[in-house]
Amino acid sequence: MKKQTQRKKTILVIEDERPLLEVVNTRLQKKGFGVITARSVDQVFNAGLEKNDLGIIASKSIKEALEYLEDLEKIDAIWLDHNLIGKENGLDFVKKLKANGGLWKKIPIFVVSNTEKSDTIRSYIKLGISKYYVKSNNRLDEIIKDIHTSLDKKKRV
Amino acid sequence: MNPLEHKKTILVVEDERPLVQAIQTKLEKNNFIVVTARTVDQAIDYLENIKKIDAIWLDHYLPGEKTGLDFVAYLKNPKGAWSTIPIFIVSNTASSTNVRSYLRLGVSKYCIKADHRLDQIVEDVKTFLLHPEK
Amino acid sequence: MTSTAYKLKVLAKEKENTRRKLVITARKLAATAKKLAVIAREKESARRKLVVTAKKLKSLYETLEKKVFDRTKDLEQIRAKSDAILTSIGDGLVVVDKAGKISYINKSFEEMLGWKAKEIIGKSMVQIVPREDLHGVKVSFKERILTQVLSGQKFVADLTNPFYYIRKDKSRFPTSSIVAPVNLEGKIVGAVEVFRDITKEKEIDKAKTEFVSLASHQLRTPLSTVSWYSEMLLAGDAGRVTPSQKKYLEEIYTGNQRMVDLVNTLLDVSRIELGTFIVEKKPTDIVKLVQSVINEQKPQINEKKIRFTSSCVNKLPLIKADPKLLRMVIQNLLSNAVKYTPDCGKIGLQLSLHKDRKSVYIQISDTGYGIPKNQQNKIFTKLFRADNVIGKDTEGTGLGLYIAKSIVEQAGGELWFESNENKGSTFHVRLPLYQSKKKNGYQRSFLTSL
Repeated sequence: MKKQTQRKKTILVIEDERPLLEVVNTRLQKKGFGVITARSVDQVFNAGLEKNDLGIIASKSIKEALEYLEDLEKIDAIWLDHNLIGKENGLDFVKKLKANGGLWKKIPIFVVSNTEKSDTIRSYIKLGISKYYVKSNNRLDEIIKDIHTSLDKKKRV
Repeated sequence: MNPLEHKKTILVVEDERPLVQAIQTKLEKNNFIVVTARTVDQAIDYLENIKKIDAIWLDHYLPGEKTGLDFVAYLKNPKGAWSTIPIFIVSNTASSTNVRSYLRLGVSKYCIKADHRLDQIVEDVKTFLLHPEK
Repeated sequence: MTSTAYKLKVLAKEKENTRRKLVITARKLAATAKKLAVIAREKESARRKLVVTAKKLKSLYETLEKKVFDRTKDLEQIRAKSDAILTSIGDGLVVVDKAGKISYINKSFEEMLGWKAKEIIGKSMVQIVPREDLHGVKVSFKERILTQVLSGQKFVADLTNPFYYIRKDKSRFPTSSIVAPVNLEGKIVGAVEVFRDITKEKEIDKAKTEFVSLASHQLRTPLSTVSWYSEMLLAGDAGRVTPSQKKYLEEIYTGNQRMVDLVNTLLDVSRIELGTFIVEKKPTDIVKLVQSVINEQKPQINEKKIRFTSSCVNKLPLIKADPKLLRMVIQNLLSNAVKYTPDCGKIGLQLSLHKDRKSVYIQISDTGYGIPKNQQNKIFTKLFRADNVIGKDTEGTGLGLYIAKSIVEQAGGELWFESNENKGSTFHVRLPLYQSKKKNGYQRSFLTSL
């Protein structure tokens, strides 16, 4: 009999507005996810990721993060805002992520942003994200539920 | 003690992207934590989810059917949790009817974007939050 | 002779007598017959005359009957026509007697208010149709225009304040109404009121105001963006700025500020033209206002080393005006004087009670460039700037005086000037004082043939 891994799914949330980050963090955890938060591309790849008791990881550089992550945790999905702190935005992040190859390329990315610009959305889709949510068109609850459902579906596939 | 706890959180409700960024940058430079929303519904969603919002920076014309006025009317419901939250209307419409309606509903301040420097508006907000009795 | 002969003689005499009597009688009869004949002839003639008269009378009678018939038809037509006119008047019409009781209402009244004539004829108009303001505060019997007009008071039609009439079904609509007394031989015997539903007008007004409001938002948003980003760059928020970068940024900032001013002014103009400029008149202290405007201009005056003299009366009665707008007028005139006067020139401002004692007088004179004679008639027109200043290092939208004149005239005042090229200009303003009494009563006599 196959032993089903009851490993908690982990989501990397990259959002520049702290209060929102906190809310999404809390909500996702309530839904049973593990959460990693970051506010900039830099933070994910170079600086540090905060860790809390439930599975949030602090890391100082992308390499470190990636190694650490590959060893201990598996990121199951990414919640990504377009506008972030620092010079790089969400598009830059996706490009960098895809460039890292391997497992990183396959992680489903859910872009949750305020921007409704069709150029921006098209660029994301071209890079290969799973879904694009416009913040002002969806309640937070709905986005979280939707992501949950998508991940569930993915698992079953 | 989290050093962030001393900072005040402002919900900025503004639709124009470049303006939002300017406002966010300026406010963060002035030690505020900023959350942004583009529509009234989004703002209400955030208010319901985010525990501590200390003030609201609000434009009048927003996408969707609801304007800033609808939002303020909603907030000022005496039975609601946000009837005392300070509201700053920073808009580009100066229609006296609108101004009067806002003031009558009880916003803390009303100013026209194009007539003010951004740093001045931010200063005014800071001063007001420090001395709310004025 | 015998007795027979004697008897015969006597008989003959008697017969002769009788014959004579008969003759007399016959003659009398003949005379009578003649008289009778005359009388008969006269009677016949009279009879004939009567016949003629009878015939004439008959024909007259027939003519009269026709005339009456025709006239009645005419009157009915006239009545039908006036009924049709009254009915077809889109406005509601009600006629009341001197006690305010309804004696006539037209179809529009019935349609607008939901009452049928037979339900309310004879009832008090003021009671049947209540009137209230925007906030639902009822207008009292005393304050109703009908009441005032019937009691002989002159009334004022306040067209700026929207009032609402309440229908039979308790719903309401905004109205504009006019009331006139009906006079008969110098006495008021009733009144006529005409009113209309101005919901559409109010909606159009609201749409216009919204349009200007939205336009102002759309125009000002990109201006705010440029303004704030230039401001932030200049403040070093995005990093250190070199001196020449600073210079260029300042040009951008200044240019943008000019656009903001222009947009503000254009919006004011469009509000004036669309009639949506909300004028909030209140008793205003013009002395304070003028002083404040002077203080605002002091920096420029000092910078240009202009000799400024002002002679302002200490106290003046209050003016009924919108202080915001009044300020715009004085600002415009004073800043023009400063702008168009070269360094070391002279500017004088005078503020006093007008000699008519019913208004305030302001005079602003300068020793500046003046306005060329052949362009003076255009100076109050939109976007006009005289040739002699376009070349100089001054900025102007060409709208200030147009707006100033509109505001002054709207307040019931006057704005005029004299000017000589290269010698200077003098602008005069007269503004009526605040009057709490109602003015300009409205009265109209009505023909009573209704």
